[in-house]
Amino acid sequence: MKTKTATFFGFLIAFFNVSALPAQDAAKPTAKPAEPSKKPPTKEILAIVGGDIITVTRERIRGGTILIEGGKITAVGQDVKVPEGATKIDAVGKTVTPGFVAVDVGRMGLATGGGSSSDRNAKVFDTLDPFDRNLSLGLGIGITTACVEIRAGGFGFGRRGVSDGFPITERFLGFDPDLEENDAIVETAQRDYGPFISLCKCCGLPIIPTEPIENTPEAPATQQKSVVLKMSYGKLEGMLVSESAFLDMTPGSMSGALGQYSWREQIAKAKKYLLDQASHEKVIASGKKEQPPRKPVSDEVLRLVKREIPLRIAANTVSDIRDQINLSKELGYKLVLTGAAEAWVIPEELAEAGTEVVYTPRRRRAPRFGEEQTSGTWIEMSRVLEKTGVPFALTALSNAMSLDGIAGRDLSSLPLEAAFAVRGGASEKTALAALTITPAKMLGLEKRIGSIEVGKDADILLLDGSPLDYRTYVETAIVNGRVAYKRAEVRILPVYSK
Amino acid sequence: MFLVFAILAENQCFAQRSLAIRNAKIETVSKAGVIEDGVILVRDGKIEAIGKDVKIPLAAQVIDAKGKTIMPGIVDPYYVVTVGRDAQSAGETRTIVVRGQTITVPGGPPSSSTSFTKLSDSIDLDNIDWKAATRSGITTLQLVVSGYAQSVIVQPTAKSAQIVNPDGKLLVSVTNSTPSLELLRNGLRAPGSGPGGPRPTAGATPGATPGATPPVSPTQKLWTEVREGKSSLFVNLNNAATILHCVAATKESKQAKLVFIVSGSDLFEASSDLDPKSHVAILPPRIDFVPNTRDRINIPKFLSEKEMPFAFSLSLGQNEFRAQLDTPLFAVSSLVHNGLGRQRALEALTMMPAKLIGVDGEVGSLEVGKKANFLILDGDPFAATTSIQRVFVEGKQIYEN
Repeated sequence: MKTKTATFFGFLIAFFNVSALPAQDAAKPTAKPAEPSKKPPTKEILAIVGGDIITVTRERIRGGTILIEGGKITAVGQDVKVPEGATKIDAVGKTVTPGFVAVDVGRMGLATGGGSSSDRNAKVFDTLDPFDRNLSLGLGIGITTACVEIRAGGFGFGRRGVSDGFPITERFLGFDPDLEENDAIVETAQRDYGPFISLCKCCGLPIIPTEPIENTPEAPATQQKSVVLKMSYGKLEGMLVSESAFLDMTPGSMSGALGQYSWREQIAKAKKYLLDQASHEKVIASGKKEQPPRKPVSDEVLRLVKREIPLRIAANTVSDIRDQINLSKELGYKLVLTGAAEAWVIPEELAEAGTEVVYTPRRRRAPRFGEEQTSGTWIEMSRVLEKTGVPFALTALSNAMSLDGIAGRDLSSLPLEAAFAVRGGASEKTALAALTITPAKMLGLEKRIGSIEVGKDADILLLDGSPLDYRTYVETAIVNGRVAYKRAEVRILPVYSK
Repeated sequence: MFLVFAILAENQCFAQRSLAIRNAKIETVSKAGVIEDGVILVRDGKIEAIGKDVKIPLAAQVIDAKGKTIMPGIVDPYYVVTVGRDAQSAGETRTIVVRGQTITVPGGPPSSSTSFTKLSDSIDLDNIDWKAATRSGITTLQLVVSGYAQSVIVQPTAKSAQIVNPDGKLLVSVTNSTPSLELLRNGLRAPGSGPGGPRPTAGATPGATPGATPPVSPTQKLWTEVREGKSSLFVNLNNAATILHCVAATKESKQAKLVFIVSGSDLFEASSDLDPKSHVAILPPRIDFVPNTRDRINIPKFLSEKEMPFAFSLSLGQNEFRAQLDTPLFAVSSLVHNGLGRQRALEALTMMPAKLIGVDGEVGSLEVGKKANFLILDGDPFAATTSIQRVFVEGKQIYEN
């Protein structure tokens, strides 16, 4: 009886909250019309009081208080006094965690159609759509920061490319095609061979039609590009965090002797360019005039060489993983492996090279015949990686935020992956870190997000249970110090009291 | 004393004669408020007198409007015509689709989406079907085109329409993409303060005589007016996010007054970022949904509670507009019955849009000296069954139900 009444009242409260929302908003200015313009410039303080705070990087704080000012955490602890005038959020009985960080998310938070990859001058900021419903869906399961793919990777075998206006003379995967160059190739081939369907992606030879069929339009070779977005629903400010977090490459680009040779050449060119650039700056500083050196590679490759961003590449088998580790050690860049199905076989090699891993604990891959002990996936990978000190972040089976298809596979079940990591033997602390501080480090944002600490961005979740429990709902999600999601109001997830 | 005159509004013989409408309930939408059993005296297309005790000249033509209500003619601040490109005969003519009707007008097609169109140069008013406007009681309208253009202010006549002001307002369509936002940002940036201001069009003469002020292209002039707050900028927005982008892009230019053409639910979503002082909304009159829910909401009511100014454009709600000819106020009346203030609703149909398009000195309310643009309704404007009986523009009847 009691629970029934409680449920009923829960509904009532939820209902009134929602229906009263516009009225409340509207009532503020009408009550005192002169007030909003004379508002003092003091910043609003938000206080989350009484929650069980899982800080991730430090000890757990029971019944603690978090103060938020100007979008940042200004105080955390049990003895924190709530200043007068602060907006209080009651978190008694709630679990408070940092917002989750998703490193592999499909296109979301961006207007559809806008910012197409073909337009070089398109700015990511201009395509941001803070009213995308996917942001709410993400917040609904706790994702407050996402590395969002803005351009899917395409093939680019043996193409010449242009990066920021500089032609890339090497035939190398992953750069935008030089369309003029392509046209010239097509023209020559047409002169030599007559009409053809398309050029072979690997050898550049024309493919002659066997029967009269329509020419399919050439798909442009593109490099995958991702940006880091905060799920700041309804606010543009602070939504775009970083425009490049990884250099993304497809595994095919580095397979084989030629691929690896090209890659080494790229890195060598980037290193030489950086040296040339430094000496050029010296010359300019001494007052002489000199042509600046030509930039031979993309900015991302330069940032990779400077160890500002890691290379993110898929590698699943032991041999592929070894190849990547060896290249990263030889060429001296940071490496993040995705997939990494067989990483459990050689965890020491990963740990030694400082390689990080993004994987999906619920993904299964059968061992190869004859290699039953050393191939395929293993549920205990999370334990093995934790024990050997390989940092890992988690991602879902699909990188979409979907309301379609089988539930539980997409990002709206991301915390379940952490639960599976625990099932495989990792500690709860590591599993939660795999959703927060570890991916934050991969994105180079560990100073801003990933844990509840003074000075960090106030990206905080109020949960009605353990973050690793499938029954847990996010009650409130705070992004950049602003409440961006309330389960009772947004109503994309069921609203009832347990 | 019971005289009934057949009204031949177009007939020139009657043009000089004054027209008196009496016994009507008059919604003036001015300080005078509502006048019961009032008289409107019209001479030379203007309102000569209005009130309860107006003496009707003997020679005047008299309409007895007992039981009827008179309100100012509706002003539509955003009457869209779409300019399409005719692939076959590019350069010579272009096709304009007006409310489903395809017509061809002289003038080349726009070369790109950001090319500037001055509508008064390229539109043939006689080729547009004005029936929908006149039947809806629209007596003044701003004719607009999507994209980058300058509007034209038009009023319908009995057979066609005439231009009231060929130099209308600056219009831009903004989407969630860089090119359209750059147009806005560059336009609002004062010249010389940054790279790539609005480029002079081909029409501007390059070599000016020394000492003379450098040539200013028509678009630059329009942008200057917008920057200085002399003229408002009409921004058509396609989603809620664009509102935020637009507000962010215009934060620097404090004086610029922006008119957002936007759906109610988009406006509701972005409402916390809007400033009632410098932003005005034009929206279709209808009950909207709260975004991402199945809850209905009266956005105009919400806006009036927030003190956010707004105007209705009847033609923006395309389907309702077509379906509700003769009872064009049905959609507005449903908003009024759900809590929108009556006066606010009337203003949003007349005075507010008139102010936005800069014709409030002439139309928008029933006051002495203003144009005699009014509607005779067979009941209260916001009663569900009320329909339009007659529509007058400058004292001439252009439509009778």
